[in-house]
Amino acid sequence: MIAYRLLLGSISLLLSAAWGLAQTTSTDIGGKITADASSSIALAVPPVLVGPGASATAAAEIAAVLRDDLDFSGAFTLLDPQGEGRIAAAQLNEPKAWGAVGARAVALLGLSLKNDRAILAVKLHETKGGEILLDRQLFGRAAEDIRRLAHVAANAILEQLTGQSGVFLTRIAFVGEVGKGKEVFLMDYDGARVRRLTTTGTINLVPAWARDGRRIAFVSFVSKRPTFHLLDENGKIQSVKLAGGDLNVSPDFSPDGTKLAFTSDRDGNSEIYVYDLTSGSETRLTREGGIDTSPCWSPSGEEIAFTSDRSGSPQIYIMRADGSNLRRLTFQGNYNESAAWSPDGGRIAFMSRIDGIFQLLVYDLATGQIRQVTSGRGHKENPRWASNSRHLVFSSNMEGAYSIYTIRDDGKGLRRLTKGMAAYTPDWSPIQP
Amino acid sequence: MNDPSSSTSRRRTTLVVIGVLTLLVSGCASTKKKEFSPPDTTAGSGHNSADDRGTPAPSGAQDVAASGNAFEEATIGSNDLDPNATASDASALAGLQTVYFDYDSSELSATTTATLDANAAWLKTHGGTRVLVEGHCDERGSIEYNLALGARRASTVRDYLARLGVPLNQVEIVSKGEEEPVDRSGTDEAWAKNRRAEFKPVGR
Repeated sequence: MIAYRLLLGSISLLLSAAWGLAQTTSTDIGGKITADASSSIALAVPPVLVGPGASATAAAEIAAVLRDDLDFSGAFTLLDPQGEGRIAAAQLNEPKAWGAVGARAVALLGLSLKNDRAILAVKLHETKGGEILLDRQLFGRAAEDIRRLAHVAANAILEQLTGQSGVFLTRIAFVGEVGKGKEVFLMDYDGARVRRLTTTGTINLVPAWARDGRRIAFVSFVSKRPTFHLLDENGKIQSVKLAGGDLNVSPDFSPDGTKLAFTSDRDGNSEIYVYDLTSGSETRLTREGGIDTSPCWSPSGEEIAFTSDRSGSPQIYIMRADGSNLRRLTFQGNYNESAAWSPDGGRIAFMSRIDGIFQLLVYDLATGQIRQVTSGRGHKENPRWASNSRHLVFSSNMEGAYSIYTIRDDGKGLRRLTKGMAAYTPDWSPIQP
Repeated sequence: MNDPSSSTSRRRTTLVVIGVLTLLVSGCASTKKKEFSPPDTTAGSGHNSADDRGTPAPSGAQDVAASGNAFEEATIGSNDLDPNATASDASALAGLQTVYFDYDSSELSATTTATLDANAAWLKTHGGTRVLVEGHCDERGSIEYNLALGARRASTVRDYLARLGVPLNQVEIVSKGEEEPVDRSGTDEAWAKNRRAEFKPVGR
């Protein structure tokens, strides 16, 4: 413990001294470099310095992951790490040299390894005066935590420069086809480290995170009828004792984690219910002859959005969490469903059939305006928000087999996350792991 | 301090490596750093290794090691449900015809009701045979919505059979949503084949 602290102090000290930029290791945090929403910050991330014990491969991986994270955010214009062809190799750690080629900030990183511990020193400089905006030493396991080190560094850099919370440590749950079944999988937000959570040999669907990131509700056919179950972070599946019905699906955790909204057909057709995880009691919220399904809590826990075809076609509705004050949200188009309430509370993403193709749309609750996020070939389904309320994850067959994609809510930055396995119904974890 | 000459910078770079070596070996610096939690080494229970929870300090040391649970680490294995208790894969019962539906509809067409009339007659003469009506959808629309639509197709069929005098306890229903298409080719014809209610024997 003390040894670690000494070690980290040492690293910090040496990097400061070596880069000739700071007099001491003490915190010296300048004001944030601000950027309005429409402009990006020119940022340089030169190659990660390879310190004692560290491999060039690991350093390169950290640089690649970090740059990928920062690019994903959409907040930066990343400069060529080699200095735009105008900075001598020996000056790549000089903030002023980067300033001369247009960078407003430069992130200098050094990786070293001691006793199987990887240590990543991160210094973020403003380029005009070389002011240190961020000075962190991160450490983790040498093999397993390399990507994680980069993600933590990227979160810190993004937050320091923009005030935004990074989602680079979040994960995405989804189902992937395995033989005739579909199993629940997890992957990092960038598609790395895909790992399987269930081995039921049957069909599992629609994993949904609890806000504490420690439980996932999902639908399984493992007990013949499609019914939701809970999966805890130790990989244990728990059954939920429900009052009845041949269909108990579409689970969605309340923001406080004490309840699940879900769909059941126990009273004759699909209606929305709430299951109280503490008492085991169930409350019916909707009473309507049509299909009511896909409930989604507002982040305040006060309202629930859902799909209903009571008007004759699927549309998005909102009601209070006790079922009162029902109102219809969508009127354009004749097939709107799969509502996802943004974590900041302001918008609802949904899928809408446009010219025979399902696209993703976002409804702004303050203005009533609807913006189309996706276009082009292939269905886009099951949108779910990242915790930053700026990115969406969804499944699409735009390139053939259904795969998981992410996109920014302005329609830019489309990324494909899964390959080699048909994948469906993603849900983005909350920011806390 | 900010001399841009490359020889100075090269010297600095050299100093980095020397400095790292020296300080790593000696561990002599004594700078003030924020407290941090030691990595949790308790197998399978670690929630208290300090990762990026809470507000990260802009300056200081931090252990980023993952918590070691199943959500973070590799593939996990078993669960406490019976993996053999899956829904029936049995083929449809001879004597009971599959019926089909329009897009996003669970209404019974004249053709469908004619088929169901025959199925009802068969069921009434085979009172000992319990059947499972499976509601299926084509793959358009969300997986969630199609689970509900499949349930409505199955229950519409059951209700119709009941009106014809088939005992309710002879007919069970299940929604298969869009999970078991008979034709994956994605054409109008394929979709029409997939929007159906099938009759299966009630398993075990």
